[in-house]
Amino acid sequence: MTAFFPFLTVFLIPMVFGVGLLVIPMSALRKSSIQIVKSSPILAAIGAFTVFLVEDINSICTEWLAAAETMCVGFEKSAILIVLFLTVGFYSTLIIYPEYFTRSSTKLLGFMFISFAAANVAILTNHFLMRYIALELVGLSLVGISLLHTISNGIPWRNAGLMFLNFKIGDLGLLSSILFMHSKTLSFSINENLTQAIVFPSSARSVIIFCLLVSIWVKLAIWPLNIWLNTSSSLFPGIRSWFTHLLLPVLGVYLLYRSTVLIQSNNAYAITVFLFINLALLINEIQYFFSSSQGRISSELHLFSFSCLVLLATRVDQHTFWAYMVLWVMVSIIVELCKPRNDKPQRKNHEITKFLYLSSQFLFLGFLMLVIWKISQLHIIGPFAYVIVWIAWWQNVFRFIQIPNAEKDQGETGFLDKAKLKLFLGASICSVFCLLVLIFTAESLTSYFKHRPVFLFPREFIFPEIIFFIISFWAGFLISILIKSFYGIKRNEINQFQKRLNTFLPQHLHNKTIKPGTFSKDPLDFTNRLSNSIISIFQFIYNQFERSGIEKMIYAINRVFKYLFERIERFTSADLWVRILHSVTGSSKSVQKAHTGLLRVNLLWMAIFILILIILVISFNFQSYLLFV
Amino acid sequence: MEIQEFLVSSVLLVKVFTALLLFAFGKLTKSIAKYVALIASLISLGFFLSYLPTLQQGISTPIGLEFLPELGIELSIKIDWLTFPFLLTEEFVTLFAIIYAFGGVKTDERSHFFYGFLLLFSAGMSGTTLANDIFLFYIFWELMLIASSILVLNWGESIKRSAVALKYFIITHLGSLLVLIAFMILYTQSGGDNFSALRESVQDNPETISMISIFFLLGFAIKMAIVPFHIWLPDTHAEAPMPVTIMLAAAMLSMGTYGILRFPMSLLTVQQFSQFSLPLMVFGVVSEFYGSIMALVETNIKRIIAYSSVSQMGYILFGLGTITSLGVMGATLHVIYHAIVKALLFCCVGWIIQAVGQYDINSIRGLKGKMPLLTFCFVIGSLAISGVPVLALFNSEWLIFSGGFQTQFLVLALIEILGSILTVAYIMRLAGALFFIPGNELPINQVHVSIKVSTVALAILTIIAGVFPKPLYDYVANELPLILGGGW
Repeated sequence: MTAFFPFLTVFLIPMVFGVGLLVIPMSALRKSSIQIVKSSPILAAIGAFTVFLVEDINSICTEWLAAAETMCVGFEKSAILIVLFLTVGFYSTLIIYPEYFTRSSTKLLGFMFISFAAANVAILTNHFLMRYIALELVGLSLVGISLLHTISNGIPWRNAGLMFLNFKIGDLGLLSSILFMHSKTLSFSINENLTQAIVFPSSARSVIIFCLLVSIWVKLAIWPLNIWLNTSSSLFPGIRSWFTHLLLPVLGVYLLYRSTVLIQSNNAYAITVFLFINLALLINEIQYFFSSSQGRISSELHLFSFSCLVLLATRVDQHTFWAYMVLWVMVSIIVELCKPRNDKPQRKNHEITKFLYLSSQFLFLGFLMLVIWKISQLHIIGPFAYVIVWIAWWQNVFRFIQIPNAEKDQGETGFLDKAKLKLFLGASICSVFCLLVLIFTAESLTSYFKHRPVFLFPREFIFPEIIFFIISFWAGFLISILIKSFYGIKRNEINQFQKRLNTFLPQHLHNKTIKPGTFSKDPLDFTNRLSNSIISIFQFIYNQFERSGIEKMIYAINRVFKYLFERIERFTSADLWVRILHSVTGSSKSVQKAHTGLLRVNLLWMAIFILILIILVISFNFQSYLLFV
Repeated sequence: MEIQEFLVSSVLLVKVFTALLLFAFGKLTKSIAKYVALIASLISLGFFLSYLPTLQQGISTPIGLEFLPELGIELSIKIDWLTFPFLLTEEFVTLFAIIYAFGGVKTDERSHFFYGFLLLFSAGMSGTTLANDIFLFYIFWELMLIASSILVLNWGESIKRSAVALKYFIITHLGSLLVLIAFMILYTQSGGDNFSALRESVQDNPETISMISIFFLLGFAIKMAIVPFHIWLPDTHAEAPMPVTIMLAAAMLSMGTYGILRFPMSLLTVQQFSQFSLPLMVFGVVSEFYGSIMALVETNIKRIIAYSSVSQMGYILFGLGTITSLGVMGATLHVIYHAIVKALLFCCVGWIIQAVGQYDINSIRGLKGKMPLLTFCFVIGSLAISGVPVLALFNSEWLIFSGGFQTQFLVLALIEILGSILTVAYIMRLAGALFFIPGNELPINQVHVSIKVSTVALAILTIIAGVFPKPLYDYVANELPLILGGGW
């Protein structure tokens, strides 16, 4: 079967539409034409689906960059499945947020379509350089959108600039790994390169893995390469949702999936990644520590799930990771579909929707943690690393329970009225059921596409463990809510909560005849002080290294550069030459005044000197000239 | 004279004779001098392109004229595949510079001289590229320098012009002298001045190889403005009138690259040249970083782009230093693409200067809303110089990087790639400040249509060169058998 139809639908049409929307003036576009463009992902989905109906499908190839061999877009079924998921996600975004993609925002829509088309190619191609180009186009689309948004909303240009720089770092990481592998294999085939890279010397592999991880880190917005995520927080919700929660993470995880074999080729690499992702997770928690807005927490939960996936990539085999990836993509799409809109007037039961939306994310995270718990026990450092994951999870739960009160009036009773609690429990059971269905689907899809059965729960698990985990998960959740309700914590910032505890508890203790200034042996007070100290440390780290670290670094570098510039460049600048010129002409004039005709004599001597030089050169080689003549 | 010989000689002679005509009958032609210059450059370009089919057939016959037969000196010119990319660059850049000059340089009493020298400058570059013997090469090499110095001296933009011209002349002439010393050694060894004879003589005298190569590399590095020999470049680029700046940055800098390819890399074998691999790569990386860093802190917009040239020349030197087919191919392609993109950026800067009359990055803000066409062109130029795919420079950059990874100096290759982040940083700073950060409301002056035409045409060329890289790559690939004995 010709591959042209799927190629046309998943790449050519979206790309043409994207470029068209950017180039054609807004006034020349009708409302109906925008509707047609917005419906085109349906065609892409059909195109992707047709691939499943045929046994064998050829590729679309081009010799675009002459030195880079033939570039092909293939239609491997496991890859087209991811494209199909992306198409669903893309179309859902266009449907859920129709008001952002109208005639007045065709440029935004244009960039969205370009990113979609480029992402499809990035997934489908087996040519490394083609993937690099496609990924760079995806990043540029987001930068373009950020720029347009900057223009229209007056948000500083710095955002777009930082985003571009951040993506460029990731792209250069990928390019370095590609070119390094190419220098050894003389091929740009992804499969061939990754297969051969496993047997490269350890040092070479380390470089390749490091460079690949830089690219993955940027796409998944993991600390410290997550600048773009913060700068993209000012984008329209639909665009943010598409890029930060669907497209770039999918591409990042897909890249991670392809690199899994390489990461696991040496235990040291896997452990390094394992430790580093924990560090990143911890830093992430510090970054988001004081945030309790729903959008922020949602972003944090996404980051948490990316971190979990990276942890899984260090331990599970490639086929199993594919299953986790499929599961994660499905969950991400469903979560985005069910996401409550904050930018629209609130509907009835908005809080419940919000609560359920976040709790479903927690449930999925809980599942991932369950798996990580089990696989982390396979290595000696695993349990220690798992503690960080666990702390991070509880930290999220803690912030999560603040949301209702943070964004509502203080007089609310929260979730504890009977009807809401029933709804919550009912929905929880449903979401557990949904998750089980999704896990089963992911396993089936993997068995079908990869011709090998997988089991997403680690085989070492026993039934009581799972039950215990689920019960403790929900119990923990409910206990957290009860504690919140009992103490009546009604602030939206955790440091404010801490302050209140600080003032509240000593008063109680004082009433119980504890003198001010004396050491309290109350364990609660001790933990309170401890947590205060930890918060202070976090605050210090945040202020010193996160919030102003980059500025300080830039300032220091700037100072060095300026010093170089002033000392070296200015020294050799035209000013010096002006002085030299004046000095030469001045002294020459004064010499001429003193000794008329001296300059002429000097020139004469110079001419004689040159003549002597010429004679010398010729005389030295006279013999050879004679021979030549 | 055969048609091919006529075409080759005409590429050069049209410009020389037109320049002489302008000088001789200047007073009569000053009002039409620019049109005469434009027609001359178009004819020259036409002749060059007409020769392309001949070149594709593998015919590359030199045209010779016996000058001093007793001394073995014969004047000879030839177009071969090594000449092609550089001549192509020079011809196109000259054309764009002249079009730009229509609106960029005021027509006055001296206009005919300006266009005459501009053509001589171009002829100097073409002659250097076409020369098939060291005698003619050096004559045109010096002509290029003298003509450009005169242009800076007379049409420079500030009162510093005489000092800048002097500085430019002395420093680049120092480079010329080093090249001359190498030529003299070669000449005394071979007894002739023809390129084909030089290679044999070099191989017969292996003890002088290192010395000759060092002289050549130093001499041409000065022309390429490689750090620390770059000190002439920022002042000269900032001082020269914009059409001359375009020619200096986009075409003349590449003469150094041509020199390295034509002499040390054509005369020596891979093994002989390999001793220079590491120094070239190191200097390339240093130039890339230093140029970018200086561009980051400079405030004069013309000088920022000038420093960017220092940085870009670093890429080219690095590519040459890899001594791999990909690296050398990338370096040669980078010459062409850099010429297009740099000409575009300078055209944009010239447009801005004409429109707002300011040079300082801090005094120009928010041009995006007022000049959308310029914004588009500048963004294209910025993205291209950042190495974004589907635009010109990406195709050469990845080849250079790839060449770097094929050497044993992996760390240098990684540093080279990292350096391109600085390129992104300085160009973002410039683009952001000029176009996207809102600020003071400067009055916008009318800009001549020729400036707009040349800028837009270059922006389109940047896109076309990026989207369709294959034809150019195939042409440039033909140079490989001529370099390092073809032993890739």
